[in-house]
Amino acid sequence: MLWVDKHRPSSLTALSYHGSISQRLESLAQKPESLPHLFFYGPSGSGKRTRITALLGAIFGSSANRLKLDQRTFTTPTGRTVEIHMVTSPHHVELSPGDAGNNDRFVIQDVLKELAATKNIRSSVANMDKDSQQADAAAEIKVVVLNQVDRLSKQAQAALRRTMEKYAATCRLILCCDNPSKLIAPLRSRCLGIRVPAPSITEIVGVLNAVAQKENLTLSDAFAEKLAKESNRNLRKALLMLEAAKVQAGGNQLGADQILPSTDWELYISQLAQDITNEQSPSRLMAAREKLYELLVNCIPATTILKKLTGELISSLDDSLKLEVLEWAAFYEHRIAMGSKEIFHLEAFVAKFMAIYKKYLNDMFADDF
Amino acid sequence: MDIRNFFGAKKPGGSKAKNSSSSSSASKAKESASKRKSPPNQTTNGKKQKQRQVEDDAIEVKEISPTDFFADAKKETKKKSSKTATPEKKPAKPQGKPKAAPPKPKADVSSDDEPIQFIKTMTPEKKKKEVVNIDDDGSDDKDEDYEDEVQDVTPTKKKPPSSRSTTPAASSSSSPAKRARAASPKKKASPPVKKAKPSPPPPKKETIEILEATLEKDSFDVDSSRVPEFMQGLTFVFTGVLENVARDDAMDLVKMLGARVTTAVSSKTSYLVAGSVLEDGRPYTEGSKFEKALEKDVKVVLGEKKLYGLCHLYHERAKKEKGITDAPPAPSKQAASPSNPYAKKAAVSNPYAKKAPVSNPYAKKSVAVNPYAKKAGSSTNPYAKGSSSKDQSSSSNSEVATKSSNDPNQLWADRHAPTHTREILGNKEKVSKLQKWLGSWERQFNNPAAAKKTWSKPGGPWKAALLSGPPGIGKTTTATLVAQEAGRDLLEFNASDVRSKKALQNGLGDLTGSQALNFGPAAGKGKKAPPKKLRCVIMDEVDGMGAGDRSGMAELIQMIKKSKVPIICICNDRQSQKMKSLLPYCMDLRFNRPNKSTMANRIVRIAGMEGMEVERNAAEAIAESCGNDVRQVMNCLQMWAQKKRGDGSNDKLTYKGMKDRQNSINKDEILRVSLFDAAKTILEGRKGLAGASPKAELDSLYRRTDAFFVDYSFTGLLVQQNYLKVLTGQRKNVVDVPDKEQAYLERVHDAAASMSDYAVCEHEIRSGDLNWSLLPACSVLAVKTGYHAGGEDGGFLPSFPEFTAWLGKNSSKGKKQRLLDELHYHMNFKISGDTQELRQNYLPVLRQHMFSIFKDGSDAAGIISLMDEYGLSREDVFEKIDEFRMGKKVPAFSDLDSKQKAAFTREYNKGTHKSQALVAEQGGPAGRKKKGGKAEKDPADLDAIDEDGDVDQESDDDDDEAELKKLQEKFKKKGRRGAAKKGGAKKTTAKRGKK
Repeated sequence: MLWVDKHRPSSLTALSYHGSISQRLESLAQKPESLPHLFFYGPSGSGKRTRITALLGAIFGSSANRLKLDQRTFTTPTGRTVEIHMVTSPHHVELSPGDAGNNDRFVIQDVLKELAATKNIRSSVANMDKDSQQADAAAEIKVVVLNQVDRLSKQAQAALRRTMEKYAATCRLILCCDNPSKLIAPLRSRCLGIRVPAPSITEIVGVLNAVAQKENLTLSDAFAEKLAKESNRNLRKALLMLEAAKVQAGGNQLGADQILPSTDWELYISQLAQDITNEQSPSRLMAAREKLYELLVNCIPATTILKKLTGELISSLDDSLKLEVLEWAAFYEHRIAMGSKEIFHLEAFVAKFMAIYKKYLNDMFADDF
Repeated sequence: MDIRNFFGAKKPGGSKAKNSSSSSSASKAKESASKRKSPPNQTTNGKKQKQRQVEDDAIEVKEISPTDFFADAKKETKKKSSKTATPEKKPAKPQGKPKAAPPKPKADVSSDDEPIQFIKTMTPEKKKKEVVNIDDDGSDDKDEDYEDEVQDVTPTKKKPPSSRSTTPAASSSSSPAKRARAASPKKKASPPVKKAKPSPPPPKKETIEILEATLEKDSFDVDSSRVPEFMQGLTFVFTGVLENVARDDAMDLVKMLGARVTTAVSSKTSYLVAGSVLEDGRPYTEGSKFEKALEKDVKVVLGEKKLYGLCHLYHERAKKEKGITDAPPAPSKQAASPSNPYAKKAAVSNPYAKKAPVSNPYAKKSVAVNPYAKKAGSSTNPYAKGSSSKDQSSSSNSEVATKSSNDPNQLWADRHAPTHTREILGNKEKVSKLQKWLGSWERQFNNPAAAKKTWSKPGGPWKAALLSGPPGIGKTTTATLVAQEAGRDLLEFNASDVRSKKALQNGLGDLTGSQALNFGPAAGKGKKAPPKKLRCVIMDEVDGMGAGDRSGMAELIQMIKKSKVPIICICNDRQSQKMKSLLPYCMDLRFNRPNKSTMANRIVRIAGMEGMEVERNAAEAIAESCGNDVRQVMNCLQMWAQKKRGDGSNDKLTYKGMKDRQNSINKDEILRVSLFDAAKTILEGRKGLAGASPKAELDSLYRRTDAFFVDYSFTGLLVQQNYLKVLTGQRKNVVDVPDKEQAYLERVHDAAASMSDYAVCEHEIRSGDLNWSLLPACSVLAVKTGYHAGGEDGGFLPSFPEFTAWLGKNSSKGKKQRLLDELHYHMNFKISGDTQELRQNYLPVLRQHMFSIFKDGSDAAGIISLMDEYGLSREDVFEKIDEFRMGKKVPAFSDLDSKQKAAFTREYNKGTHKSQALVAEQGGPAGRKKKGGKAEKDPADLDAIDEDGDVDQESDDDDDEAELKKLQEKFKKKGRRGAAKKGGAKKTTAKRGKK
């Protein structure tokens, strides 16, 4: 098993950073009957789901970890049969309604409603293995964890509004996503928002060191810091990179001069950035379009592409240009969020960069004379 | 009336001439002779007016003769050969028509005094002959199907019946050949004419040369021509590529001038217009049309300049002629013609009078030019009417005339519907076949002997008939008329009636069943049945018997089998599946669309009755544009007539007018172009608009925005796919010029940005709120992209527009997303990230990790334990993870050494893999507990799933591709298993070999 999963903390107390959040969750777990709907958000790799799992464990005890895969099939009004996978325990259900794509609305309307409307039977047998009183009370409520709610369509989110209120007696929702702005305001207002910020560099370095110690790895602080920075303060990524670096190095020594491992798609994007910087022309833009398509097809989200690409482009730019390029990147990221054909917006951004960059080059050229 | 008589008299001459078509084809020899002689005649004639006229005629003749040579040389030569005998006399007669002049008349004319006598003597007989002639002409012309029709039609076309009869021209007009001749004279004649009067015209050959050598013009303006259709009667054929004008435009030009354009050179062809090279680059002299032209002695006009020159020549002549006849205002013209007994003739034969412009006849041109004709033409003119009933006593004609006086609000299609089978346009043999069938029906089927037979043999006889063909060509009319004429009562069922089994039984059962005997006594009785008692059932629109008409078709067939009454079925599409069962029981009569010239005859005639003037070319164009649908043509005509009345204008329906109007009618034409052409239109932006008027710019803008709607879901995608290509082509102009290049790159961005706007708009439309009111905005944004791509001067898309890549990419993206989801599902227990995290961070590391283990020396166990921990199956690793690779350097599992893979597979298959996800997917121990899922398969199914479970599970997936993929995987898996076994076998054998 990869280290990132192997060393994942499973209880609230074992969490190594964001102590205040942990405390608050702890207190919520004390009174499960008054648990509000929760909305976890924050950048990926900051520990949202780890905290959710830990919270569930704190509320329901070990039975929350008796997981089972489940699936539901339902038929949409148009006659399509849609299947949705979920992970269940006796006390909670975890699913990603966004998996149903355009039919996510029906997941909310059918499946979720059905789950929420049924009450857990409070069997004394079930309570036997739980000694605490709180588990007793908790057994009455059911928790539904919805992952990637930012992928939900507007209609699905609207369908969620009423469900959340209507079945609050039996069911608590925990929503989880990266970007809270994708969630409509009415939903956000119904939840207790818990922002899980990315861990700081030092926190990441701390975790990395802890893992390295457990794995008998000698990790230089400099390299750990490099990893933390390079990972964009994404702890998961930092851990994965650590493992990748270890595989690359082949030994148990990771010195400061160790090469940072990078992923295939990141390399691909830097290549693309280079292409754009080398030549500004429609034919180059067409080549860029091909590469962008390739990235999209490989399931790299457009915003990620844009972010990474902008980072690559900016790194070699004069300060005076950075602002402008960033502005346009933000503009087109907004566009991506508004539209569904990402390639159109990415292409427009590349075109804009070409124009800006060419202007910059020409000005420099002119100044030389 | 006198005048008419005169005309009539003259015509007769003309008609006679025509009659003897052979004579009409006066030999060159004759003509030449006439020319020579004519000059002297003229000189002598100076004394009397009439004589003068005669002279004129004579002159005309002379002139004509050259022309004849010119345009009709071939024909003439042939014809001449037959009638060379009477060369001298012709000159005089020719006036009637160059071709027409029969020996006798000519003789008369040639002598100074005789002309008058000639006229007188001819008058009575001529009329009759004329009529005959006309008929002949008509039949020559086009009406293959119907002789009577032809008679009626031909005259009407040109003009009202009365005028026809009186005018020699009319007859000539009807026959293309004649027309051609009549017209042709002018063109040649015009240059020579002046000279000709004083002295005999130069030899034909010279004139030809002059014409061909000298006349070159850069253009010919149709609008400025004051003589309508002055090239009527000529026939043009085009070949090769004209330098500065599109062939279609050139064709339109001559058509506007009244000439005919055909595709093949024949003996009727007047001119072959040739570009210097053919479409394939060979010189025009190598073309088959040119060779044919040589063979047929057709004049060749080389290049459009000469064509324009030719037009000018004809025009000049026409004007001159017109000038003479009606240089004075119209009234004077009238006056002139009456005073001059010959005038009418002149109209035909005399270049001046006739102005031959139109060649003809009177009838046609007449309307505009000839006061007489006009009157005759308008239905309001009592004259015309009276004459029509008198002169053309053909029954159909009078019928039509009476009909036309009916309710003014009636649809023309109804008002002018045929009232007799003879009047039906086209499909004559089918009509007569139907008549025969109906006539023999009682004898054949309605006797006791026939009752027991079944009638569905392939060769007939059939108890029912099936008329099939496109709409508007008279199928129903045919059925109705045939039945009526056979004296039968009609019972018609069409799509407006319920025709289910029950309804048919109720409505028809009595009629077709045993009771029918009451109405239609069997022929066997030998009694003559009163015609009224016979019946006939028409089942119209049988292919329209739809879902509502349950088992109606079956019932119909049963009914046909039993029927004692003939049933005529009518349908549009006999290939239709619905018709299949009916076909064997019916006599198959397939109706075709009447050809356009047949229709044009009728159109001109009907229009004449309605007081409209329609050029023949225009009539053909209408017929063509309506797809030879007679009914639609009538509706169009009525609409136009209405419009005319509305705005008070009285101009006739000309070919040019049609063309002009087409531009406005074609407003939606852009919607008929292909998707790719539409995209191209948008992409090329302002192409060709440099310096254009604001209106042209606006029109172009509208056209481009309209183009978007050819297929609004695709056009935008095509534009996005191709706009960079347009821009690429312009780069060479700007590169190395910093300012320009900067502006150029800004344009690139502008184009891309407006595409981005477009995508946002489209998203609003397609998803979420379905805000379709944004569609026009999408259109404009797509056009804006094209504008930016093209720049101020418009762009050029160098190749055919590429189809959009977006659809394909989006689909493969969807596929990979699904694979990713599956992986995520399998790994869901162990990893905390979502699918994106899985893709971006886990997969690269996981792959690297596995490869490092592989490298370590195929430690299959290590990998397998890793896979089991994460719940991955063998396929997950070898196929799904492999899908997510970017760049060529990234290693793939499928590229591993096959031995290694085989070893791994064997190892993997040894153990059991109990990850929940895998167990659920692949089926596990039957006792495994499953809860909560309605969709869970019961244990019995699970075994089946092992074989084709994947397909089973995914079969309801929306995306076919996924299914396909699954299947492929399935097969691959099997294949690989096989391969693995083979590999294993090889391995063992290899080992043995080593040992």
